[in-house]
Amino acid sequence: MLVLSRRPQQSLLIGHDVVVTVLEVNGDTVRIGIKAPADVDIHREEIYRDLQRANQDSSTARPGSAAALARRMQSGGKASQDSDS
Amino acid sequence: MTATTDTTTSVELNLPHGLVGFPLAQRFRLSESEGGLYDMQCVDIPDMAFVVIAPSPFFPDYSPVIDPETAERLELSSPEDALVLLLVNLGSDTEEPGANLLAPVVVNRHTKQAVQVVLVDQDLPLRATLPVD
Repeated sequence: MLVLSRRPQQSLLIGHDVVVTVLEVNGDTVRIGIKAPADVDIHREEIYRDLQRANQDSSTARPGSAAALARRMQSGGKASQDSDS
Repeated sequence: MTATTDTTTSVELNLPHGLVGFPLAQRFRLSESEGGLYDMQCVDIPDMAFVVIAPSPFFPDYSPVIDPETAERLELSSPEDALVLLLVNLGSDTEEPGANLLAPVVVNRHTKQAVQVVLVDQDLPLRATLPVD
């Protein structure tokens, strides 16, 4: 990992068009500004990892899964009349 | 001799950036099922498929705010241009299904271009329980 020091209002460039600026340092929190082209996605890493896992966990549907879930949800509303669901 | 009678209408969605964590999952076939649910099959990755829902029947108070950059990227000029879909975790016998309210797939109804939008700072759950028995 490249490690370098910056002061508030100083920036660094990643590639030609991503500019990362340290805006403010306050205790253990650093505020960072990022200027990047619109097609570059920027994520907080821990949220990205959580979403990647959630997407993975949700990606195992099969043809007919939606219909099966729909029936499961409908039967939930009538559960008292239908012990066989 | 193919006598498949496919009466469900399906549309192809295009996510140029893929899903979060899956940059190659870019094209999906969305087919309406029943009860406000949809099947969403990835065209690029055959083993990847989702159940998705329109939020309103299940989460009537859900009103995500789409940031201007995303709206511009999707060429959305009004909220009516957008179709919001929530990815569903199907759960298991012991686990209830849940919907991802934090990162919906937002589709331009007209162009079928879509983005999975991460709604940070809106206090939305990654997994909101769907009502089943």
